[in-house]
Amino acid sequence: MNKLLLASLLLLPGAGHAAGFELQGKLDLLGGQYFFEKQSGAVNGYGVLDVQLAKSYSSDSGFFVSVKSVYTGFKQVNELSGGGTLFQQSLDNTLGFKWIKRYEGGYSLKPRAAVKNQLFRETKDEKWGKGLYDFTRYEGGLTLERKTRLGLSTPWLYQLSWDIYYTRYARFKTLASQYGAELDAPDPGTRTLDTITNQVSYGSEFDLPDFTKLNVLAALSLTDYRDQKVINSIGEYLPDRRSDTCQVLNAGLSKRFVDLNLLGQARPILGFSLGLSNVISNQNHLDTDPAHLKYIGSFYDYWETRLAPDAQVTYTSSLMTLRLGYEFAMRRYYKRLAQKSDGAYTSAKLNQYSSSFTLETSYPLVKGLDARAYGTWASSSSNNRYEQVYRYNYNSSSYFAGLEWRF
Amino acid sequence: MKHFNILVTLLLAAGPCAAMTQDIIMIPEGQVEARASAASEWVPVNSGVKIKAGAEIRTAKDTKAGVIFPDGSRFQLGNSTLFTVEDTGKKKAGFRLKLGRLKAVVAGYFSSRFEVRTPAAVCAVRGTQFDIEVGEKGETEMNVSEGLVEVNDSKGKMAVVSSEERIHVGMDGMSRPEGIPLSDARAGEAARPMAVRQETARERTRTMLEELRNRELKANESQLGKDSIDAFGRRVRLEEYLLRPSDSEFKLLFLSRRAEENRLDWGHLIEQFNSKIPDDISEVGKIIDGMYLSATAPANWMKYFEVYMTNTVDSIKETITFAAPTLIDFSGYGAGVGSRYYPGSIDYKQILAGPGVPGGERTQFQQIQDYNSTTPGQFTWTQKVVNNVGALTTLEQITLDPASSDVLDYGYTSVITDKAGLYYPYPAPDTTVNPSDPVVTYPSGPGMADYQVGTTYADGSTVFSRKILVSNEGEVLGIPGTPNSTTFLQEGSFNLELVVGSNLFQGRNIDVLIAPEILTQKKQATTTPDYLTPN
Repeated sequence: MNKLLLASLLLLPGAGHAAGFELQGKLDLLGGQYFFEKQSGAVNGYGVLDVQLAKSYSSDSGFFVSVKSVYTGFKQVNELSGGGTLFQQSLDNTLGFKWIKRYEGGYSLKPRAAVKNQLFRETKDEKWGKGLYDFTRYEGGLTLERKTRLGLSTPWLYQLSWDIYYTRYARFKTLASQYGAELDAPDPGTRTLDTITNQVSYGSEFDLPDFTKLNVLAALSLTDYRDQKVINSIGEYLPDRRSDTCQVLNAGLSKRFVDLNLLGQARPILGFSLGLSNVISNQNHLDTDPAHLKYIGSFYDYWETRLAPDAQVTYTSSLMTLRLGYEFAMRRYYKRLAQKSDGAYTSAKLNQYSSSFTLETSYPLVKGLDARAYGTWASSSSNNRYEQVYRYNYNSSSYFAGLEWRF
Repeated sequence: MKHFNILVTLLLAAGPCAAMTQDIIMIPEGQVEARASAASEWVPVNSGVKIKAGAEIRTAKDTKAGVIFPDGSRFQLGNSTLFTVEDTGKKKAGFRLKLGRLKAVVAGYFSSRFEVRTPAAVCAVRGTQFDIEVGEKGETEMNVSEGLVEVNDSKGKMAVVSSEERIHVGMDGMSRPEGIPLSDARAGEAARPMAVRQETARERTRTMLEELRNRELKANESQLGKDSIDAFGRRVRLEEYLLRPSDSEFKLLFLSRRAEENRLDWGHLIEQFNSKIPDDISEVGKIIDGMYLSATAPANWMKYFEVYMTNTVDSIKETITFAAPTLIDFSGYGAGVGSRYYPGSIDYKQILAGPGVPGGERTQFQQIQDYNSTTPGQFTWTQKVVNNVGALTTLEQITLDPASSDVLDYGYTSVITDKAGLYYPYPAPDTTVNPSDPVVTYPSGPGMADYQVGTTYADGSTVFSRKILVSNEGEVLGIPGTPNSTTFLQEGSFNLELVVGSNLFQGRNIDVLIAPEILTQKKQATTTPDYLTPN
């Protein structure tokens, strides 16, 4: 009996699974609601199935297949609010494969491939699979990883990655491409949302002393719009295709502090992340509204700063966790101009500010099964007062609650 | 009975600390000895017992022991191991491995600080799997399978040791941690669960950048007004294009597509000028302003204006043709006004076309104002409509003398034709020509920006236009009072949905979302001078 008990300790990691596949993942089933200003969407469900099936051939090679399906029956705050609708359902499915090949000295090579399909129902007259913004994304990538140390004290893992994404909006074609010949319309391109992005990134993780972690991610992305032509100041579409360059630098620091006696033994973890990004595009914009015809070059260029402090407390006796997160983002466009409420252009460049609070809690009911609840409140503001087609100044919120099963 | 005694002894050993400690169970495998404190006697343990702070465990050459913590953490003590429980408090849980080997899986919630001491090192543990071996001289070897262990040596050096790393700590200090070779049996599997979780998280962080780009693409479509919901709950895709057929004209093409109905409504706005206009089309507003009542001869002026809307089967076209501005004596507007430039004529037509329209196309309504052509020295304002047999016939014709204050007082100087009976002496309307008075309805009810006006002509043909201010969400704007035609001329936070119908369209209608400014420009161009105020 004691031997059996001892064996159940499973002190040797993976000993019970060496022969075959390892399955792990989680299933979330929640319900919630979305609010935009004084309007509320209907209560609906939210579900996530996130599974990885892994097989190791040895300590130096193996692979895993990942499957993720997300159903959202209601809109969430982090989704497009200013131009979207209260009614939104989405379903996305991702299938991924990654091979892991490790070499002595802490080196690894990790090629991958994935495909993602996302379906939307955003208006009541849209049916599943008929959404205007449904897309399929094909992904590939290769990561070179090195696990080493920074000095004596600190483990350091860094990854150099190249990722390629081909995104195809199956149902989105410009109207001009469909009807342009008979209407004498110009040719802006047909599939103007389809893109190929090549992304090179560098990520580093440092496990610093005193329960402190530092993460850094720098990425450079080149997005080629395969069929979106560049417009000039007199409304002509040039042979040149739109091309965007995006640079991102994110850094995150988190630290676990000594347990507090706060309604029980509470373990606080404080974090802070900072993000900087900018986009440079060769695409311009011509506002064809007769009231304020306006050409704006480099319309999409901006830089953005994002700050996000975060606090989490785990009660060590019950393992209940509480997390409060705040995020502030400020985006400044280089050339895009703010407009007055009547649409007239001002000389000021357009700025957008957004902030959000998130409160999240989970409570373990039995091993592997947690009750979870989330609430988010967000505010968006801008010096742009023209809101005929898009809201720049609004408040929104959402909540959802339910169960999470981890396996 | 002996086992019971041991259990009691170990429990009692905790003494005053009992309230603060948490139960830790030791499960022996084979003959294991334990004692409640260093001062107690070693006694054999053959089954699971609770252990408290101060307790020591000793395994023999061929025995092992397991230690289980309330948070799920587990230790396995190897052969010939000497292990001490030093502290089991919530703030700190401390253990000492004096000799032998210990394998650990630590959840990390048992205590705020979880430490394993050896003669050479102090290992502070986070959520971790690791093993430690202590030799006869106290030297310590530690391998971390998963997670992190913070190791301090006697010389004050510190190192965080991470997954698949090992460290040697001698009595003279630590060596630099190094990776466990892949060929070593202690190396983890390439696709072990924790590694897969971490790799998945890193990949998703990178992919999130592409996700955000996709969201932004969609946001841009919305910001540019390319996607909306109409007043009837249907998604409408909108596209507008500016064309420059020549350097003296431009054309705005607007398309409204409702995919679920497989329906396309489209139209255009054309403005043609007498001479070259700037590349910056926003400047043409100044040219148009200069056409009306300018004190100096306009350098350029609009010659032709056209708004065309169709559902691809039926269409309605409104055209305005302008003659060159001419110098006119506007002294009737005030002594200081004098002569101003004003279009020599303005000819507005509303033209219907479609399979149900007699002849396929006809002018339903026409309004002309000319200066000096029909009536010397005066404006002549003429309105024509289809009559009872569908022919375009003059309904009203009056003159206006801009040099006379009568223009302002009465709006006319003489009446030539008055088949609607509008002017003194108010003749009986001619029912063969006179259409019905406009019938105004409010389809969404009072207090909503939804306004429909319809006219029935003498031949029974009808034309109605419905204007709705609708949000991107498809909600009709609420307004104080009842709407009128000017409600829809101002830019605001709502889209303008324009629905045009006729009984000549055989049950179809035309339904476009357009910029309110198109209506504003049309109204401005067809306003008679008696409604204008010179600067």
